[in-house]
Amino acid sequence: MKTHSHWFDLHIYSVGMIGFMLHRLTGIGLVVYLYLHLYALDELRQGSQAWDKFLQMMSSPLVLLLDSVLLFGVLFHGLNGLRLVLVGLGLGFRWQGWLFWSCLCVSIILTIFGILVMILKYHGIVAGF
Amino acid sequence: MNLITVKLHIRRNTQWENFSVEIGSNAYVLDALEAASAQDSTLLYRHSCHHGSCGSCGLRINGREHLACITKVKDVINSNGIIRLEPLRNFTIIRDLLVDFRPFMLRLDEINLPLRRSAEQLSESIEESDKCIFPSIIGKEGMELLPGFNRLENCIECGLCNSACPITGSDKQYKGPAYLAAAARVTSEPRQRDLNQVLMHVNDDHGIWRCHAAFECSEVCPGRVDPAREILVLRAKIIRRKTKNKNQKRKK
Repeated sequence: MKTHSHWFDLHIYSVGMIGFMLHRLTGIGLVVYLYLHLYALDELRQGSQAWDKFLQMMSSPLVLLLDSVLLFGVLFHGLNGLRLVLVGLGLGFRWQGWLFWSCLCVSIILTIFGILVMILKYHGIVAGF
Repeated sequence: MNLITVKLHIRRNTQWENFSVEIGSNAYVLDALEAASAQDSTLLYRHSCHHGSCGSCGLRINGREHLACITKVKDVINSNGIIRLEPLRNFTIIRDLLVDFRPFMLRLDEINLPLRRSAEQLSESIEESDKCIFPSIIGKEGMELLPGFNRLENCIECGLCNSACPITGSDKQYKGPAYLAAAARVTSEPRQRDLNQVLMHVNDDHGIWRCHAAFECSEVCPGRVDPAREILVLRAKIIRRKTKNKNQKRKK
């Protein structure tokens, strides 16, 4: 009998493992989004009316909330990817914990900024939609 | 000596079994396990030295890899007096808390990379000694000339790193942190070994490049070997070597 596989584990204490799990979860999320995005683009083939209807649906508050989750996923996955490239090449592994927290903080700050922009645009305070 | 009651929640194959044992407040988890074994002699687990040098009592205590003999009960017991014990992951379970270490040891042997501590090397024959550099042979001055080696010789082959590594859990062919760190150690101090052969073994998809830098191996290592650091340093060495070879080819 073999013990179970465990890339996702809630008994974690190390920064590296938190980074590993978040990176993988955001990666899976982005793959799912990619298929959703391709499905959405397929709406273009249905004509301009269907596309306008689709865009209207996409600007609902719920979709904007999901967009902010997507924004965080893209930012964190990208920034943490750069951290992994550096650490994986044997550069700066001593500061890998510090680099992880930096990636997370920058991702959160930029996501908050993105949410603010989306809210302002949604209410028509700034141009858009 | 103050006695405390500990409830051991032990995973025995597919089910969990509870044991209630009375032990000293300063006792170690292995002491509690021995008390449980006195209640049920069919309970299987491995142990030997009782002081963290043999590496045979590795377990998952409350979901985290530890050596039972050097982990104090009071450090891991929860507010309800419960300690959860499970066998190591990524090993085949023989029964209860006992796992099969043969594949792990054979893998280390397959490229002739035994992880030996300097104390063990000193006891080897004189004929063997020319393969290794001991502190007693090269002296204090000689030791000072050596670069700042990581303490990989302190690896006790406990397998905790293999259990904690998320990649070993998802890629059965992955060579594992202990193996790769041992290879890194050899490249730091080749001792007349063929470096190309060592690098060939680690430089593949299931070797050095499969590590995803989760650093769990280094977190759980009781010998502070820091296998993650060793793996990443070895990667950097391989990249430098490849770049150097390419540049040399271009010049020719």
